[in-house]
Parts: sequence; C-alpha cells; structure tokens
Amino acid sequence: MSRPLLHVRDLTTTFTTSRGEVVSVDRVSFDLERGQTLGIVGESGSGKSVLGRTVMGLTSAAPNATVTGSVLFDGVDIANPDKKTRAQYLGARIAMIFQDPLSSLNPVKLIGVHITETLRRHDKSLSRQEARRRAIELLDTVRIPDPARRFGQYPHELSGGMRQRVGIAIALACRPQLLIADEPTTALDVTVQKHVLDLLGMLCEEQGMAMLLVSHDLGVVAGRSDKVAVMYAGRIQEEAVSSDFFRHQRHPYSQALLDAKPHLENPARAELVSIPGRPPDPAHRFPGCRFAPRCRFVQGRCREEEPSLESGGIPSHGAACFYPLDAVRSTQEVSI
Amino acid sequence: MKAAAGKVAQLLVVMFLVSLGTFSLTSLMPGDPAVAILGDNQSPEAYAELRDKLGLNEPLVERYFTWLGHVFQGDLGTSMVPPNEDVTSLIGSAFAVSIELAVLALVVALVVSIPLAMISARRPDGLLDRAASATTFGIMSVPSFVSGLVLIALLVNQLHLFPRVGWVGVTDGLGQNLYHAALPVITIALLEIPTFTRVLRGDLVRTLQEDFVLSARAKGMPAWRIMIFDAFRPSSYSLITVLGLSLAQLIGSTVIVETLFSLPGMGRLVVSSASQGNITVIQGAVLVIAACYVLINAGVDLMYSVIDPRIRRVGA
Amino acid sequence: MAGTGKTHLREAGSTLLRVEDLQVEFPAKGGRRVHAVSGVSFDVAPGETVGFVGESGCGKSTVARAVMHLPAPNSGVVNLDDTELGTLSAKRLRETRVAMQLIFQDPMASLNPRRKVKDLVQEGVEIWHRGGDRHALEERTRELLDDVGLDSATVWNRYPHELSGGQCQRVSIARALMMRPSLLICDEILASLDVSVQSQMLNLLKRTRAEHGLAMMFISHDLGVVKNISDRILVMYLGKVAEVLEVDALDRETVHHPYTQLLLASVPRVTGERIKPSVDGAAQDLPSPLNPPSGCRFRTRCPLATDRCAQEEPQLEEKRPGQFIACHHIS
Repeated sequence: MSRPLLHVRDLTTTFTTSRGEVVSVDRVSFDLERGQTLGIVGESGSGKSVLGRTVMGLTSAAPNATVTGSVLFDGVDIANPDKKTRAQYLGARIAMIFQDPLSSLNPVKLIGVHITETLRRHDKSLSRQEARRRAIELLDTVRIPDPARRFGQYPHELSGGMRQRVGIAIALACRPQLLIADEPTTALDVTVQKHVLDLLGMLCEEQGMAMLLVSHDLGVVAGRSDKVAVMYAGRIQEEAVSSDFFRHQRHPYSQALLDAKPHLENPARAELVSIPGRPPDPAHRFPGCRFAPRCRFVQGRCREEEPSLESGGIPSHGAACFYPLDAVRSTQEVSI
Repeated sequence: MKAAAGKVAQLLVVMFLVSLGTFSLTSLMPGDPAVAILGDNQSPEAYAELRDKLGLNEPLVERYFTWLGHVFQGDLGTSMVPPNEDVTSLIGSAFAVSIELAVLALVVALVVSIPLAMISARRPDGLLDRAASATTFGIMSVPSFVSGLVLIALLVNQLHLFPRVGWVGVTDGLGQNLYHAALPVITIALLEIPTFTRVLRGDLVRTLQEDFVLSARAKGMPAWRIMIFDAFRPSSYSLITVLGLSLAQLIGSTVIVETLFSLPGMGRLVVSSASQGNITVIQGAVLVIAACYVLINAGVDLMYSVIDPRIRRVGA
Repeated sequence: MAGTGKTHLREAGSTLLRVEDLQVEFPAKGGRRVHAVSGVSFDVAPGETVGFVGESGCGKSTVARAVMHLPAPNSGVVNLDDTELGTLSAKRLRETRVAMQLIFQDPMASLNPRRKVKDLVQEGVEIWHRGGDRHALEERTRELLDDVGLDSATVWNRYPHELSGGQCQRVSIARALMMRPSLLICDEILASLDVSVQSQMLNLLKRTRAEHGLAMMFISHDLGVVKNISDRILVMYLGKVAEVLEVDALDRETVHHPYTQLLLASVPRVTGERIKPSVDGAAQDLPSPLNPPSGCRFRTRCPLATDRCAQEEPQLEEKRPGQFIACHHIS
C-alpha cells in the first residue's frame, strides 16, 4: 500500500488570546490520497479554516499560535515547518485559494505580477519573458478570456468570478500536488460558484491534484468530493466516503446540519428542523461530547465522556458519537 | 485628461485666492511702513511723501493688481528696510536654504523611520515594537531646541565632528554644504521620525492582516519580501499625507532650528521682517510659502494615484 | 429579461403594496448613469411574502430602498395602503414609512454599538411617541424580545457587540416589530448567519408574520431560502423582472425563463454522486448596468437569444398558470 499524500495525526492548533487558551483545532486526524478531494464542512468557529491554514503551515508562524501533532506531506512533517521547508513546500507543492478573491489579491499589483512572482520565486532560473508566457498560459488554463490583456490589469478591474480564477491560476503556478481551497465560492454568485467548482474539479482531474475543499455549505462539497469530514467545535465529528455520507449520516450533528438547510429540492414552505442553541465558546471547554447540549438524542453518557471518531461497522464511515444514527435513516435519500 | 485640466484650473483658482488673501492680510498688519522705514522722529511731510512713493495711498484693489502684475514678472518688489534689497533674490536665497534643509531632513527621517516601522510592525507589541515605541515617544517629547543643544554639546563641543554654526551654499561645494547642513538636518529629522514611524507602523500592522498578505505567505514568499513588496505600498497613504504636510510646514517654520544654527532660512527672514514691519518681504515670503502648500498638496494627490491604481482610474 | 409589463399585478384594492414602473438610476463617473432598476412593477397582498431573487447587481436591494423612498426612485409609483408615497410631504412620508420596516444584512453594523438592547428596541417608538406610558412600553419591549427568542432579562442591558450575529438579527426584528409595521422588508438578513442559525431565523420569521399578520418583501440571493419562505417570487436580472411565479411552480414540471433556469441549475444539489465538471463556454460576466444590452437584458448570456431579443424587449406575460415570464421564446 502506498502512503497517502497527506497524513494528519492529532493535529491541534491552540491560540493564546486575552480570553485564555483557545483550541481551534483539536486532535484532528485524517488521510488524503493523491488526486482525491476531501471536503471539510463546518459552521463558523468549527475550526475548518484554521485546519486548512495549519496544514498549509500558515498558523505556526503566528506568534500566539501553538501547533502540535503531525502533518506528513509525502512523508515529510510540515506541521511546524522551518524556513527551508516552508520555501520548498508553500506555494510550490501545496497551494491555497481564499474566500474573498478581491481582498486576497494585492490591490496595487498587476494580475500578471501576482503569478510571475510565484513562478520566479520557486524557479529562480526562469526569465522574465518565460514567466510572463507561463502566466498568460495559466490565465488561459483557468478559462480567463483574453489572458494577455488581463495580465496587465489590476484586481479591481475584474469581476468577482474572474478574480477567483486568478486566485486559482496563482495557486496552480507551480503545479502543486495539494490545493487547499478555503471557502472558494462563498463570496461568489451562485452561477459563478458553479463555474468555479467545475473548474476546480476539472483541474484536479487533469493535473492529478489533491484538494482540501473547505466550506460551510454541504451543498458545495456534495458531488465535488471523494470524502467528507464534518467539523464541530474544533473536532471532526464524522468522516466518510461522500457517496456514503450523503446517503446517510451517522452523527446527529451532520444530519441536523443537512436538515436545517432549506434545500431547493425540498417542497415549498417546508418546516425546517432547526438546531437549537449555538456552538460552544471555544474558550470554555466542557466535558463530554461537544454537540451534547444541542443534540436531540443526548444521553447521560454524552455529557461525561468524549466520544472518539470510530467507524461503527460500516467501512470508512466514522462518527464521533456513542449512539450513531445507523438504523434510522439508512434508506432515506436527501438528493433528488 | 479632462480631469487633469480641471485639477490645474482648481490649482490656479486656489493660488489666486491665496495671493489675494496674502496681500490684503499683510496690508491690514498693524504699523505704518513709512514709520518703519524712516524711524519715528521725522516730519509728517516726510512720512506722507514716502507713503505716496510706496503707492500706499492708492486703493487696495489697485495696489493688489499692480503687485500681482509684478509678481507674474518675478518681481516681488524691494525691501522696505535698508539696504533695500530686491525681495525676489532675498527670498530666493532664504528659500534655497529652507528647502534643502527640509528635503534633507525628510529624507533622513524616512531612511530611519521606514525600517523602524517595518521592524515594529513585524511583531506588534513584541519587544522590538515596544522598544521602538518607547524611543520614538521619548524623542517626540523633547523640543527641538533641547535636542539641538544636546547635539551641539555632544557632536560639536565634545567630538568636534561638525561646525557649530553657519551655512555654506551648494555653490561653494557640495561637501562643505552637507557638512554644515548635517546638524540642523538631524535636529529637524528627529522631530519627524516619531510621527513617520508611528503612522507607517499603524498602517503596516493593518495591512499585514489583509488576506492578500496571507495569500502571499501561502505562495511561499519570505516575510521581509512581503513587507517590502506587498505591504509597504498599500500602507503608505497616511505616510505620504504626513510627509506632504511636514514638507510644507518645514519650509516656513523652522525658526528655532535656524536660529540655533544661525542659518539664513525662510523662518528667520519672515520673523525679522515681521519685527521690522517689512511688508514687501512678508508678502513675498507668505506667497511663496502658500504656493508651496498648494503645490505640495497637488503633489500628494498625484502620489496617491501613482500608488493606488484604483484612484488612477477614477481620474482617467 | 427584460421585462417590463404589469399583467402580473393584481386588483388595486386587494393589495397592501403596489409598485409600478419603478426606475432607479445613479449618476456615475463621466456623466454616465447606472441603470440599477429599470421599470419594475410588483404588488404585495396583506400577509403575503414576496421573495426577490437574483445575482448581485440585479437591483433587488435597490428596489427595497426605492420602495421605502430611501431615497425616492427616479420615477414610478409606490402605493402603500392606497397612499401614493411620492405625493406626500416630507413629514407625512416619514410618518407613513413607519408602516414599512427594513432589516439589513449586517446585523452588527445596523445597530448602534453604543446603545443597549432595550434602548435599541425602544428608540423608534420613542421618536414617534407611540409607546404610551413608560411601563407599557417596557412591557411590550420585553414581550417582543422574548417573542423573537431572546431572553429579555439577559439581553436587556447588553450592547450589540456582546451578542452573536443571530442574536443581533433577532434584536433588529424585535425593533422592527415594535413599530407595528404592516410590511417587513428583509434585505439579505440571513446571508451572514450560519446554517443552523439561518433555519432558526426562518422559522422565527414564519411564526412572526403569522402572529403579527405581516406582509414581507424577502430579498435573498439564496433560491432555497426564498423558496422556503415566499408565496410569490420575483426573479430579477440587471434591473428588470425576468419572471414572477407562485412558489408552487417550483415544485412542478414546468418551463421557466432561461435565467430562472440558469439559477435553478446552478444551485448545488446535495448528492453523493460525483458531478462531472463541465467547463464548456468561457465564464460570462454580468453586462455593465452603465450600458445594459438593448432589448432583452439577458440576451448576452441566453442560450435561446435571437435577433429579435436585441431589438424588442419582451413583456411579462402569463405563460403558465401562476407564472409570468418575460421571454420571446417561451410560449
């Protein structure tokens, strides 16, 4: 068996803030195979974005952050990268795209320069002309019409969808093996979102690139990922192969998350089953399952012991729950 | 292009108003120029004759346009105080001194404060940041005559590194010129460094939290490169505003430093002319200083659009 | 799309709000004009919820503000309860406007950070002296705060920054209800909330409108949300109405305006099956509202577009029962 591209074990990110220690990502473990897409879904404060940034090696540089555990990328631990590793991996073998395509581009820099500087950073022998040629090629790859003209424009001269394409082109510059997409379509209109997701899917396929697709929206991840991990309060609560996950959820939180959203497939005026309360304050941890205070199926044990992510019988479908919903919804389909 | 023409027209209007204001304000200044020139123990006829000769009996509006006509020919009149020099050349030589001092001081201040701000902004509230903040705060609270005297005591009297006072023009050799300018330049720069550092540090800290900085880090760019090539330019707007204001201010109001080092700059010229009631010189000086303000402001606006392409397009 | 036309309007007497030919333009650089809303007509019956959906830049938020006369539209007629807002004096307009309450997207930004929750909820009434005596006012404030799912005792003296986004939005709703409006205008009020909080808010809104007999204009980019809460839906594109439909039309086999079709097809489905990514055709940008396309405004992105669409603007016509569509190619 070949080793996975990304092998994450007990990854924990802690921030020291004025309100005390905040554990944003708490003992998270997962594997990602080459060329595969893992969707990471959670609400705000679930730690999904911090997880993405930590895998990228971006949080460990913050003065108030501590990262423990391991992130093995192709066998090399990059959880706390030194300067050399960072230079070798960041932007070259692992790349990232961000939520807001406008604010993640430097407003005073030409579109083209964003790309050429990445190219030349990781390949010092590249000439200016060659970098320019490659940048225009990349803009073309992400289906930006008239790439040579766009090369010489500023970010504010492009539409939101175009800007996100530029973000993708920058990320692709050095043909990374792993792309971390942090809410890549949240700031975009729904028609543009579809284009961008299609583009990402195709590029992964063409270039054999693996992707961590981070989103608050299960709908964005559905149909676009091989595996899904649902995060809540810093922990992965459920992890499964997508086809399996969307057929039935084992963790009450995952199910509640799906039920709470007014899907277009639901009949008009449908009553929504909402989740009462709100996510726990990450600065105030309590014993037991983190979802227990909001869970419909809570039992005494849930408030005392913390369940770990275990696959209960069904292969590769883990749920951090003492009383998973196995039998309840095995046949019910959410999709049309 | 249309926008640029509008800008120029706007500048001309402002300049016109400034000249009008300058002229009428100085005309309203207390004291009789004739008395100032002749002294206060002459016959009334002598004063009247002189007033007539100076054109002070003409209506204000007429005097203004006569004066403006001369100004356009580069003639600011003659000094009312013996030896009645040509005001244009009087101001010209003082202005040369002031502008050189101001520009050199600002360059020195920038050279010190930009790296200082970058070091501070790298780790906000870190050790270096707090040290820099304490130092700049300390410098800020020392008035220039104190820092100037300390510099003199230390660098002139103790170490004999610089001349005590005096000024040597550029025409007499650049080396001598800079040698004499050094101490006053440092004294003025010390005044500006704290402000520059604080303003730039604040903006850098804010910019460094932007997503595009994070995305530059995700591209594998080293921290120093991000600081210089990504964060600096978008963080420099306030610095440029402050820089423009300082430049304009320094041209006319470094009297203390000029006095301390006996420099023939604009500040001393204005102060001495004011005490002598030398109206033509004051009018000329105020006009030149005001013109500097207007031009520097225009320059600052231009800089904004050079730095920020978003503004550039609005003007286009 | 294009559509202008008023065939979808109902009898004047039966509606609470009737808006005809609303037109909003903003001046832009170089003497040009942004055509934000170009001839939009719609009506809202008492107790009815009308959803406005469309991509950013379609003018849906501008419609909300124009209805409130904040600022007044460039042209068009807004009738609230048979009062034409455009004919009112500034003072009368302010009084009449109280019957319409607007809630915004960003709950934190729309609440004054220096005022306590109790003051935020009461201030509107205090301005209009509609609260009766002090005691009754306080009573009603507590009641409404509890009604919108806040514990009035807990939040009474809190400031907005001490509340979560969802709680702030609840305060905004309580504050609006305090004025006893007949029409609630919700502008993207769920956009910045988490899914679990969104569903709480949707259920709250449904309960509130039933209890208070409210009509609503519900503006959102999220078709799923709009479908869940609306009785009628206006699909807007570039300042025009493409389609007006009864919400039930979304649950039956039918044809839609090509733009509605595009929106429906773009909404992600919750499915485990891998979607085959298709990237045929370059990305299409929204045309500039400074210089909108002639004829049907959607024609530049429309798969059905012909020459006719460039020359002639389609009108809203009832092409299917309960569906008014502005398209030449749908019969």
